[in-house]
Amino acid sequence: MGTSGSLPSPNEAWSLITLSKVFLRQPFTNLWRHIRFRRVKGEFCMLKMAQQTAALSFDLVAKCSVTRARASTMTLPHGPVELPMFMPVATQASLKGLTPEQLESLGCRLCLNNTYHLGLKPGQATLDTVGGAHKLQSWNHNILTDSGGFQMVSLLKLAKVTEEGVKFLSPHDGSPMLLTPEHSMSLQNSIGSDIMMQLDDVIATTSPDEERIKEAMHRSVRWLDRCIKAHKYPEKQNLFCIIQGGLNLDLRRECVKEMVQRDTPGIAIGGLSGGEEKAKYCAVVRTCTEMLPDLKPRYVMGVGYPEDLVVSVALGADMFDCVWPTRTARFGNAITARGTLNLRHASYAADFSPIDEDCDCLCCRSHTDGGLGVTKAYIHHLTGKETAGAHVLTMHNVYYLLNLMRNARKAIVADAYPAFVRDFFGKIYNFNKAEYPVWAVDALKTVGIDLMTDAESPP
Amino acid sequence: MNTFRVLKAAVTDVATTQSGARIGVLQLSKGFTLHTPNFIAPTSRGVVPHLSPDNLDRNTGVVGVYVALEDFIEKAPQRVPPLYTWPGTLRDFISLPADNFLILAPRRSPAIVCPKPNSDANISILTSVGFRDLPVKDYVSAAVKLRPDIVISVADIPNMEKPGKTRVPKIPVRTERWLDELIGRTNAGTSSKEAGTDAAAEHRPAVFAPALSLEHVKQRLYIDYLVDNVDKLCGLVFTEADHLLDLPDELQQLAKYHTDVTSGPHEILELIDRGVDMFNANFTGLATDAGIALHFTFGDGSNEGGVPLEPTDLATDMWNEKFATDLSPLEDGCVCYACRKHHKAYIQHCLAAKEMTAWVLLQIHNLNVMDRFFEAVRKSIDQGRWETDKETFAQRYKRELPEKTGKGPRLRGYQYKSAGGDKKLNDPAYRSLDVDAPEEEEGVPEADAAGLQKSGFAQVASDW
Repeated sequence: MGTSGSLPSPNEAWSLITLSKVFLRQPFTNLWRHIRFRRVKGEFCMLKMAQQTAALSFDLVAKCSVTRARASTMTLPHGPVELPMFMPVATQASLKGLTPEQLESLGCRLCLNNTYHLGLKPGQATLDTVGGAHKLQSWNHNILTDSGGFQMVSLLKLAKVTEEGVKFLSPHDGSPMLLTPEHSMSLQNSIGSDIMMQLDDVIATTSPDEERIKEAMHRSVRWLDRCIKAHKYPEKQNLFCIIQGGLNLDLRRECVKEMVQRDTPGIAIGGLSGGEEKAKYCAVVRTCTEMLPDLKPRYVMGVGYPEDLVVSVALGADMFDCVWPTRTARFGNAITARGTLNLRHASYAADFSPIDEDCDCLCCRSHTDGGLGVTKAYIHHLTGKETAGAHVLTMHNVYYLLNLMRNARKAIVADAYPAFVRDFFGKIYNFNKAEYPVWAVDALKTVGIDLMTDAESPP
Repeated sequence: MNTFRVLKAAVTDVATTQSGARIGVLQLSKGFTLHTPNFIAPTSRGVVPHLSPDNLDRNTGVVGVYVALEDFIEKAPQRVPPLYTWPGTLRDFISLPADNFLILAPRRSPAIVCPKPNSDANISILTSVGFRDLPVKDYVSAAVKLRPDIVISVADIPNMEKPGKTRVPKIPVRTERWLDELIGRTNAGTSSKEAGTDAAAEHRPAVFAPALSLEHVKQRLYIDYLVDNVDKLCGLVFTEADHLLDLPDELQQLAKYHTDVTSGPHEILELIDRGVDMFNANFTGLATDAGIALHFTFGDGSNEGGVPLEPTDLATDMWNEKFATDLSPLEDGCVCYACRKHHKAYIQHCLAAKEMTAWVLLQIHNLNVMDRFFEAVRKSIDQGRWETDKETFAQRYKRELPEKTGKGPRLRGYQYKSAGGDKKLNDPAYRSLDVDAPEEEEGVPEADAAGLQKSGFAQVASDW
């Protein structure tokens, strides 16, 4: 193989493909798309860097040479998205006062809808008539839906899980109801989401009942099988499995093995972000990513704090979602590179600086830069009194997280993710290392970044 | 220079019918132009309700906004309002798009009546933290410092329905004194150095003087004052048009701005007929909050097929469940963002789900209807069709907007005056889980078991 120049010569490339064609018996065009050349220690190596299923193709663009961070491109039925990414949550088919046009202008190409909420309003019959959630909200980009099971357990007081499904008492008339994996799939098929999630048996990670956690893990696997069977449109909608097993790493490993065998187009790590210790959260993510195949997207559910995102990316996760950035915006909290600011506080009443000096979103840019020139003082003036203030701050917060992940991706592609992580924590804590959260320092150490020293140390 | 010019008065067929309708152009020294008759968007705390500045800019035809100082001076004088320490202009403080001009007024539109009467030096106002006094000299200083494009002078409006014998004479006297103070200060420029220079003239806001709802005899001196100073004025502002046509000719040449709530397009047309040039789009906001989409058109010559037997609705209540699967736009043929990109089904869904986006889209649409309406009015006057078009509109549309059925967005205390013993304006957002659920609660199914099963969300279980 060639060792000089940045690309193999056409002859070399051709011979590689011819060889592969003979040995791997794959059609030429398909194979070409799946091959990348990568220089490792001066040698070109041929790597399989892409994988395609019916409704999703996954293209691994780069891997961090220190951590487990990955940059990839995932192409879904409504267009490509770049990973790692944050997905804002448009619970009831609208992102809290923003128009789809505004959400699009922030650079969002994949947002969440909640199956539970859309199942209640507007309901399956309406979704079928309208032609799905994309049509309903005039959103021509991708949508991910959850299974509906989580809200069942978290919002309703009386819910219990049986092998059939989630049982709950109708709050309206008290009659017993049953939500099964089949119901969830049928609803998500009606919604038409580009990524749908299996119904899983969710229990709090903080639950002390080991037996119950184990049961939930095994049940989630069985329910995945039922979901796969009930899924009507695998050619145009992607069903992701959800790894369960609480904080028990052995259970998680067992679950990964079972789930990976089912070969879903993508894999989610579920049951986290429920108030468990951050160190334990990191251990679970690390344990799972270690075993997960390279060429599938990995989605950690319910995570949205900037620090969690940056650490989780280092641990090998690709996708995140959380209502926190949009909810906290409505309470007047701005997410900035220097931490989260509570703009309701009187100290911001006469603070005429932009929401975030480092931010280049529409709201933070000055009038002369074509932005809105919104100040902290103006948000303070509006919070809790006029909804348009929440809309502006929602736009900023969503942009901040989308952009954080875009910058993370750029850093990974440039193989400079460790420096990105150092800079990120440095800015939040004003480079005062004593204030860095211990869990983050420890978790990053396991993947080769020691925030306390200035050099990378291989794990 | 701030100027208002009448371009053309409406032509009437019969010499006996007198129409005051006219088209005009308001030109402000900072380069803004408003063709009249036209509407102004009232703001709350500096925002046109529901619209972030980018939506206002990109998706509406709004040219001017009405901003009340009482929305910005919460705890003054105990605490200096942030706005007063702000080094820039009011328009920058509220991130107003560059294409919009700003009208500064002391009070919101419509203003809540305050319990305490005005005094010689103060008016009573309502801020988001309660009633208090606003010294008129503070308002005048703010008007100079904040550099609005138009400033409305303070009127002494009594806080009772029928002011008594001693109260009435005070009205024109105080209003005149306050106007004199404002004219004096705005003409003096922001600093003594600037006075009389071109820079001062450039920053000088256009002054709109109050026209009082009093008979001519009771405000003769005030009117004389207005006539004497007419060259320093650009417009008149008022809440009742009763005595408008009694004003002398000199004052008729000023822009006439109606700031009170109108009941709808019919009343607006009647006021245009009495010579009103500018309106606050208050009823538009009320319709938006009620979940009502406007859809009326003026003077498009559609009377050719004769006047319909039944008058058409001016607007539609979008809460109606029959729109749940209706993929047509709010109004056929409308080119606003809401109609181009979205449909009734989505807006109905967002209202039912109490998602703020519903009111954003309705506000965008309703303001576009207003924009189109006023454009058609101007064209109609210009082309000499005013009398016919007005007549057709009156016959073609119902007078009243539809009844409000759904709930609006959360109400704020500074928008309403409590009368004692009132129920809570809003339902509680949170409740204890141990208390029985009210009929409707976010995230909890409203449908009964059969409904849930029908919707496909879950099935009725045989046991528990």
